[in-house]
Amino acid sequence: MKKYLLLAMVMIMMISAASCNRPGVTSNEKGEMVTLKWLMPGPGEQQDSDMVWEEFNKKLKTYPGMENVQVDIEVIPVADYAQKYLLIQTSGEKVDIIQTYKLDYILEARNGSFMPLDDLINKETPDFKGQLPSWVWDYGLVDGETYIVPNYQQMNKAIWSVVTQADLAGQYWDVEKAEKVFKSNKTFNEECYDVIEEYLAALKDAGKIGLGFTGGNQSGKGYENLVDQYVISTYDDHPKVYHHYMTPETKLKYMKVAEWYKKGYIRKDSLSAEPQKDIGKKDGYTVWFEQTMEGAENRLESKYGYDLTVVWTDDSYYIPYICAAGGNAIAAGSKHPKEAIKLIELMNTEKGRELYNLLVYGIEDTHYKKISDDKIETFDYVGQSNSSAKYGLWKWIVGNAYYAFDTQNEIDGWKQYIFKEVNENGTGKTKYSKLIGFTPDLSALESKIAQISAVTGEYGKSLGSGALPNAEQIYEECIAKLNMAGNLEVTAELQRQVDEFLASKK
Amino acid sequence: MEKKYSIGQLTLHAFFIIASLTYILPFILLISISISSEAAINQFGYTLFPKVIDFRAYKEIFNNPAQIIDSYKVTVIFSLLTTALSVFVMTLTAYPLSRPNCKFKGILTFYIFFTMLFGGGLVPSYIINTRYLHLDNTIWIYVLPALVNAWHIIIIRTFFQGLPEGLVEAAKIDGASELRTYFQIIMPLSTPVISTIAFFVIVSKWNDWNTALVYIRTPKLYSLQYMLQKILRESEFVNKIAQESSSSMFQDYQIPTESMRYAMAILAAGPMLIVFPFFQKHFTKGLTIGAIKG
Repeated sequence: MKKYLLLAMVMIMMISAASCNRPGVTSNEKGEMVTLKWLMPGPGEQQDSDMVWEEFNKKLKTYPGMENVQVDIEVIPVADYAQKYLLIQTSGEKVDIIQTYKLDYILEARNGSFMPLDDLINKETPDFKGQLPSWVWDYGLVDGETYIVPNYQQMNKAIWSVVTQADLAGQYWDVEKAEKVFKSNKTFNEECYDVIEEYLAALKDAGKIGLGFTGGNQSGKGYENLVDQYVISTYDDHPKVYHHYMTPETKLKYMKVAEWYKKGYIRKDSLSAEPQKDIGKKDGYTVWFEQTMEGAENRLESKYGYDLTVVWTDDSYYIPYICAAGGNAIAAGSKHPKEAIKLIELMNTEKGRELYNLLVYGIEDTHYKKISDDKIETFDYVGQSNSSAKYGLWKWIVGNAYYAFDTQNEIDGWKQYIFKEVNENGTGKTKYSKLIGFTPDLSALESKIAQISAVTGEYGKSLGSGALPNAEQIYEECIAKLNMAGNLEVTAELQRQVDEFLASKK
Repeated sequence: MEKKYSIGQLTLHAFFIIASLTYILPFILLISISISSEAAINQFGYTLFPKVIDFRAYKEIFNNPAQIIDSYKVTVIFSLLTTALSVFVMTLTAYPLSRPNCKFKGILTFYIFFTMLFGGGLVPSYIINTRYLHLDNTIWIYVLPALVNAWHIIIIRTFFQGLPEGLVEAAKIDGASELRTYFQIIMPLSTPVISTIAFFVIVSKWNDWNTALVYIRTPKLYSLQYMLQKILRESEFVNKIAQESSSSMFQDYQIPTESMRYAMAILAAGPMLIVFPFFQKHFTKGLTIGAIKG
């Protein structure tokens, strides 16, 4: 008996020891072979991932300077990325390139997890900086030094447009006047709501109000996100910091919604209803908001299946200071920064275009069909790939989305429009945030911000529904609670940091 | 024929019928939703009997069966393996602690009990399991850390203490060694507690998705529950992002339909439903441990 027990124990130990062999993570095994480890979020490992990455590594060797480089790519499901990255970092696993979407790259850079890139780029890839607009490079600055290569993609702030059924709008609304009113006002103010109210009143009289009005973030017009919970005004010469509940436009939104609820323009069960479920239904809401851009109306129409009237609320484009997609950073402990920055350059510039598309879309005829020089049709998915597709990564994570093929999901000419006209201000209508390059220091404010966000969580839904009979009182209560949680200090500190940054830029 | 039911009996019957319905109806609903068509769900909501039967959800899931088959395989293997090993190790640990003549019984029991009070958390465990034991991304990460549970050991020990002392004495007199006494006398008498513990372990391992989330990188080794969770977490994440800034990033992302989520739930929970009746006999006996001694 004892013998068998001992044998069993030994076998278990042996089996577990034998399982610790992960291929491809070592470097310098075959002579001077350099292996880079690249960590990025995405749909996770897919069926054909290994096949495509093998092809990628083969093609990579044909590029000058990369003959003895191979890349070990790891794609982590996006919902788990932040947590897994934390674990990988604390366990000391060796990585070379890290994509920073959903990571606090500013904190990581300040903690020394990332390598400063300016000198490296000037030495190894001197032409790189000229390939992207300078304000895009500014996104990657932390305290004046470049730490990430930002992913260049559609950068402008989402515009919330007013959407309604086309047949109703044709009969009951002066759409042209509404559009003029929206576009001529810097923020979504009283006048804008009045012109919507005219429409809602006409609908109600005609008995066609349906589920009525539901809001979006229209009160964000004229503001941009500064940090979690806080916005900054963009129409002022000198930007002002507000908690997003405390802007005059947000207060107006809540008061209007309460007023309209009493007048019957808002569904009676707004407190318990889930707006997302009913948006777009033919007999659903009659006025709602969508994040969409001029030129993309057909998308919405084909999504919902009937004619829509979309009223643009903004004539200009605004490029905010927050780089939503993050960028690629090089780990501070990387042993091969030269090869790493060269790879990042290939993913972001013209000369690596073929390689970049291979990584994003896979192999021609296996994962997509080529329709023309720059247009393809993907097989397993439409738009953005997911975990059940055979292969597909997200172009705005891998590198510069400008060089990605257009898929069947993109409108013809859209990419040129977005990049040349909107991003790079071809039309003259684009405004750039004064804060690009600003990196807030939240270390002293984190606990206060957490408490503040608990308050907004408490009041957000009820104030937004309009169903509260004493909305103004509840709103004041909410503001009082916010101030008690430390709002005034946080606002003052953020304003101070913003002022300091703006002064230093001059 | 006369059937006389007193008011008391009728009330009792009614109560238990209603109670049973509250357990059974959700399952029926689950099955019904998974075979309803998406349009019917949007129109009529969740109904007890599907208005329009459509197996599309199951077809979609089995479209890419390789992943499901892998996950099923992995989950079945590690669940059974953990259960078998775990019961073996824990009963072996509990037995000496139940003997009155065990020398360091007090200290050892306290040592095991102490681990229930607090632990180091995720990061230290992660560091030990990946850097020193190299268990990450293997099937053993599911098995080894879950082998021993202090609470289960105490339950088993209590049960062993309840077995008649005379048996062990008799075996000793007849010349049996300690191990022989254990395997041939004590173990056969312990089926209630073994079934109970085995049931606890297999249910917790079957439902384990956290291990896969933290330690597993290759899809081949995903547990069944994690596979489910991944798809649901992805769609939750995308919905959250849709409320935030740039709209170009997750446009047209295909979110799994309602019926598909319920079909996944059935596939994941189904086997447990089938296995449970077999444990039931021993389970009820095991439940009274600690209630009656001797």
